[in-house]
Formats: sequence, C-alpha cells, structure tokens
Amino acid sequence: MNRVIMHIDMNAFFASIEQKINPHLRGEPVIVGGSPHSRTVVATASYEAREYGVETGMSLSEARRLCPQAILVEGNSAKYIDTSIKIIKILNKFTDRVEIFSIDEAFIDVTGSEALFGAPKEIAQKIKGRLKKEVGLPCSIGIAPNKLLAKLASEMEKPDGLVEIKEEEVPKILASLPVEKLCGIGEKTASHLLRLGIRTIEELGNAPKELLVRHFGIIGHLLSEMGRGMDGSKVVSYTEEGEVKSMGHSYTLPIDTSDMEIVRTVLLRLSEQVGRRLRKAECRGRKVTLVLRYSDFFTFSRDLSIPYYIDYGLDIYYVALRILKRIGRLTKPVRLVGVKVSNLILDSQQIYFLDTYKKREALIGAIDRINDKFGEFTIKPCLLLMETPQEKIFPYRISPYQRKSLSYLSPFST
Amino acid sequence: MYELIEEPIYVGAIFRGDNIRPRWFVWKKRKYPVREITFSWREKKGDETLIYFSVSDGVNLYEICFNQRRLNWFLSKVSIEG
Repeated sequence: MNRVIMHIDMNAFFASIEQKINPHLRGEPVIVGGSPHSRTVVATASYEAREYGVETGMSLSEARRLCPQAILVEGNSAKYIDTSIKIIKILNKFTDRVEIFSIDEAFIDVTGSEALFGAPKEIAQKIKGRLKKEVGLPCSIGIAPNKLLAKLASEMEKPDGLVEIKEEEVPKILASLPVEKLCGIGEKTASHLLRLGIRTIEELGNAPKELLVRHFGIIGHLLSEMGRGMDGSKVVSYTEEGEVKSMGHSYTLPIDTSDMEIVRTVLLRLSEQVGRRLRKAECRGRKVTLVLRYSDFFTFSRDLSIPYYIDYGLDIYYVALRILKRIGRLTKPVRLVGVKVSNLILDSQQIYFLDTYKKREALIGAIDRINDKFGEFTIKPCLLLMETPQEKIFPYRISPYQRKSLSYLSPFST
Repeated sequence: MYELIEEPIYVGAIFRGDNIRPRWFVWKKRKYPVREITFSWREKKGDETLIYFSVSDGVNLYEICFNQRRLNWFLSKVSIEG
C-alpha cells in the first residue's frame, strides 16, 4: 500500500498569531522579534513584510532598512508553544502518527485513514478547516508518498496552500526544481553540488552514486536517494521519540559586545537554564559545548568532555568558562552565546558520601522546588541579581566580590 | 503597542467544560463589553496556570487573564493603538 504522508506548515506562524490577536496588524507588514529596544533577529515576518525581502534570521536593523513601515511585535514564546500544542491535538484527531518537526511544522501519516476521513485531499481540507476554525490560523499542506516529497509539496504553495504529489508525477516535478528545494540540502551542499555540475533534483538523481559518495561520504547515498524523490524514513510520533541526545540554550545579545564580563554572565544564565532542563528530565551530561557568534555572523563551537556527569548550572558554567579560556582572546565582538550539554545519561540518583555534595544536592533540590512553585529564576545565583528583567540584560557586570562568592559555591570550580 | 496594566478586574464569564468565554469586565468602575475574543492561550508561571484572552470591546484591544489556581482575573495589558 502506498503511504500517504502530509506535511503541515503553519504559515508565518508567530506573525499570523499576532495578526489574529490584533486586528490592527492584519494586512500589515509585521515582524516578530525580541524587545523593540533590543537588537535581536527576525523570528518570523508576515507575508506582507516578506514582500519587501524581510526574512527569518535577518537582523532587525536590516529588516527595518528593507521595510521601514513594518510593525515590530515582541514575541511571546509561551503563546506560540501553547498554540502549537493545540495544533498537535487537532492533528491527533486524524491520526496517532504525528511527528513534531518544529514549533510550526508537523508530519502526519494518514495511510489507511481514507475509510474514516475520505481521500487524502479531503483529509487535508478537513485539517485546514479545523485549524482555521479552532485556532484561526492558515497553513499549507503537502501530500506525498514520503516525508521528503510532502515537505517539498507544502513549500510549493504558500500561504494557505494544498499540493499533492502523486507517485507517477514525481519525475516530472523533480525535473526542473533546484536541489536546494529539498529539505536537508542547504546553501553549502548546493554550492558543492553545483561545482560537480549538479543543479536540479533530477540531475542529482541521475548522478553516479560513487561520485556523490566520493565527495560527501556516507551522505552521498542519501543524496542519491533524495535526487530520485525517495525517503524511507517513517513518521515518528512524538510519543515514541527516542531519547534526547543533548540540551542547550542560546541567546542573542541586545548589542554586540567585547566585554568578557557580559559574555560570562550570559553564559551563567544559559548554563542555569540548561541545568534546570537536565534536572527536570533527570539527565546528566559530561560534554559541554560553547557556541559563539561574532558580529559578522561567523559562528563556531568548541566542546570539552569531563570525566564526570553534571546537571548543575554552575558546574556547566565552569566547564564553559574553561572552554572560553582555551579559545583565548575573542577577535570580534560577540553577538550570540550558546551552551549545550550532551553525552547524556539518565540520572541514577547518585548517592554522595561527602557532606559538601549532600548539602549541595539538598540545596539544589530546594531551589528547584521554589522555582517550580514561583517561576524560573525566583531563586538564582547572585551574579544574575544584577540583571534587569528578562530580555533587558544590561548592565551585565560581575564584580570581583561576586566572582569570588561564585567560586565558593561550586566544588567543581577551577 | 501595549501598555502594561496588571490590575485586578471583575469579569462576567461563561464556563462550559474546559471552555471559558469572558463576556464583560469591570475595570476602574467602568464596564467593558467583550465583543470579540481574538485569541487565547495558557501560560505556566511556577505551579500556576494563567489563561490569557485577547479581547476587543469594539474599540480597543485588551489582554485579560484568569489565574486558574487563585480563581481571580486581572487586566494584563491594553492596546494603545486605539
């Protein structure tokens, strides 16, 4: 039996929500980003703003230059996550095979649902209708025999589109499309392929597999399949997803900075957030990755593995500081800081023999319970007391006294 | 643009199962009819669940909030675009 896979893409998700909330924003170019007083990136732009060339990920100053009349709305992640959950619940009415691809995208497998809900296009129309009625938002749906082609189909008609790619139409559709239209082929791979004389998906499918393997390694096999519109991966329901491999957070600073005290304070806040997530998931990790992005968008990461597993913000922070120290002098002002912990194990409720560790474990447990009850960062390291409310992170200063008190708190400090 | 208010209000609302529909609210001794609920969402603050409603009285846009644990309402924000 041919599989029937759908890719549901909520159109300009954050901006559509803001336009739904505020009727004054409807039909206007809207940019959703961070605080209007800060310097973050465009999270989403409405289709009206996209007409001026505004794109996701672009700096707000660049977006404002392209579309000065755009209305900037400060994003609210809780609002978007709650809406995303509502959408997943609606999709679950049609099938239990729902894979969350991102906050605004999902794959569903409706193979065999025809007797219940009708032909694939009919099912897609029903989904669109329910999403419109219950959350009031438009979406594009792509229908195809696999995830790769379903994603491609949903991209073909936006906003509010519905495109079905049938098995027999695949060669014709892939013939003229550029390779970067395929999910998973980015700018870098596309330019590498172009150097090999491969521009279209059809050319990728016809390219000798050996050539692709020689240039891309094991990925070459995958690229060859993608070129022929093949994708055997199944829709993995969020209820059967594998274990989490890493946890991380990143933050774009309101202003590029060369001030290492600011970088360190952001690092501490991020480490605390990662620690909280690890403890909630009852995980510990022993590999810490530090991500830095310079003002010119050059991004790099460095990691460090330690011999023990950690889940405490200050421990993560101190490993990240060691990485920062190894990197040495930063050559350009920093725009973004990120911390990730990987190489995770499920926390096996470690028993400590030393009083220091026992006390610390009890203290962290108590802090977690207070923060669970009253909200994140109700109790936080003294360094973060200097912060003004969230998103307004200046001034970010660490006094010598605070640094001293911090090292006293963590037995893993170096 | 919104103005942050965060003040308690009286609200007339219909509760039907999980569905809550505010119909009017009283703020600073003035009654505002809810002509349209443009959107609603939930937020967790610690162990409290807050249900936000973006509502219009036909003129302005307001963000009102129901604290599901404390069973009280407050006016969160007012749109100042008019």
